[in-house]
Amino acid sequence: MLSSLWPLLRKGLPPELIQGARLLSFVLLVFLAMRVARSRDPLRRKRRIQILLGYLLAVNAAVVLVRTDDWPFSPYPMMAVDATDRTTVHSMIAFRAVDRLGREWRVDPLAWSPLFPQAIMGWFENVYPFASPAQREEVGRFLLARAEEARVRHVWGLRVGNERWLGPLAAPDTNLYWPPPEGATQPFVRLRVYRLFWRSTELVADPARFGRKLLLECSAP
Amino acid sequence: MRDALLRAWNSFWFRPAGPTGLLAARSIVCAQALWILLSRPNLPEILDWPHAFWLGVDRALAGRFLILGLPTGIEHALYWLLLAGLAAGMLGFFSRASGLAMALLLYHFAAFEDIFSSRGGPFFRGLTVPVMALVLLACAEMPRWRARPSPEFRWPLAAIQVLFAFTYFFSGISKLLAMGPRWFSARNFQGLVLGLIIPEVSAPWSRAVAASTALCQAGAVAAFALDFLLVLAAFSPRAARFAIPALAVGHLLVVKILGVVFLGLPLLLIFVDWDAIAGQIERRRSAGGLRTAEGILSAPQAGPELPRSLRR
Repeated sequence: MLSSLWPLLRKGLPPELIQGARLLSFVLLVFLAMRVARSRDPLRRKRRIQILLGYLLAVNAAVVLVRTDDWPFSPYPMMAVDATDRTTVHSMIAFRAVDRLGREWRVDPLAWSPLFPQAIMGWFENVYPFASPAQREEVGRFLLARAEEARVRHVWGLRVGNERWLGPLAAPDTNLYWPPPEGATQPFVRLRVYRLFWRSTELVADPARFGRKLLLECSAP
Repeated sequence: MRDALLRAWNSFWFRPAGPTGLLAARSIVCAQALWILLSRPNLPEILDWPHAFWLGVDRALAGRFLILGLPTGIEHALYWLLLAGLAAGMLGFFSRASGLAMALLLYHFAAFEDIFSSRGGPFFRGLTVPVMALVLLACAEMPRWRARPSPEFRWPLAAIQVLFAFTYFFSGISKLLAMGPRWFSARNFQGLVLGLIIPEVSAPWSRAVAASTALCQAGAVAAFALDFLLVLAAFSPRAARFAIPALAVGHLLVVKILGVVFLGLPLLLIFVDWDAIAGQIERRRSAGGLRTAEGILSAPQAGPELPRSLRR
């Protein structure tokens, strides 16, 4: 019930207020912790510790009940979804780099480090529809330049992006990605961004059974 | 009833504990955050990415994460400062001021990875618990080796363990709130596995599991156990002995079946009973020392004979 009330309550509230409240919840945690650090008297210190612990537990519980973001307090909504419907058409953003010979390649998942492709896909999902043609072009060219840089490093046997410091010991993203393109010896001169569509059951039966629609194509300057 | 609850509360948070657990937790938390940040070199460089990337980031959101338009050079310097602080903290050089500074910097930089896309905060990037743990460690008594057991070494460690257990427990509660017990059904689990098979990418065992109702049912039961097991570990060291390996194996299966990597996994080490391990090492050492001392005391009897010239 609380979780359904919360969206109504916050509807119409300015983002400054909502984000400010979220920042405040973290600032309050720091403030309560510092009160503990400053207290010398054992009784007072214990009381302050109890308040700090109570606050930690209460805010965490509240965030779960209203199912809202208040990071670093989090409801951890990992896969908390109804996945019983098999008719849903799924979609995702996919990127392809095109070399001088016109061949399409998957982009190295580390090309856009420090971010992973999921974050860039998120931008295309949420922001791309509202971006102007010039802004779309700017983003496309930037991503293409990075994809080409990663290709060159890969060809030279150098570490790419997030693996530059720790190599294979680097923390991966939470999602699995495709392997980097092998044998891409020709420079990438274009980037194509597609939206892919599929039904789960059909894709499982035939991995090639998905549709795609071109969203953006841009060339190197 | 009230007294019993109060006793339970006090015994959970304030029973005396040795310093080793807290010292270990401090190193583990710093090491975890350092591992993630070293795996995201130059995170501040996204501040220099084309303006179009920032179109979806409103000022309020940026302000919440203290992204205040500082020059990128300063952000890079702060990032390096954070890395140095975490490395020092991992090695045991930790003060209140450094703990607090690291918590604030980590809060700031943790948001960078998701700032262009996520509407739910960077909750799944392996830095959620470290941010809050650093705040707690900054206000806790600084533990010293061989210090006497104290409640001051117990409550911060217990709080960090509980926060980490919440990662699982609240995830389970979120699932129940979203869908009820049906979430843990074979059909729903199968749907999740299928949903994570995307064009050209799938986890190695996903198709095999999705094809078997029995395996999907087992997966759903295992997911329930994963979500609600670690809470027990926070309350009972005995349960921790069983829960930690089970969770580690569970996460390996999650990678193989769902293709999802849980970056907070190394934090499971905070549930190891480091005080008991330190005690055992100490006992062995002192037993070894005793044997050496006995050896020294018995040396004249067991030693070589005196040279003839000295026997006179």
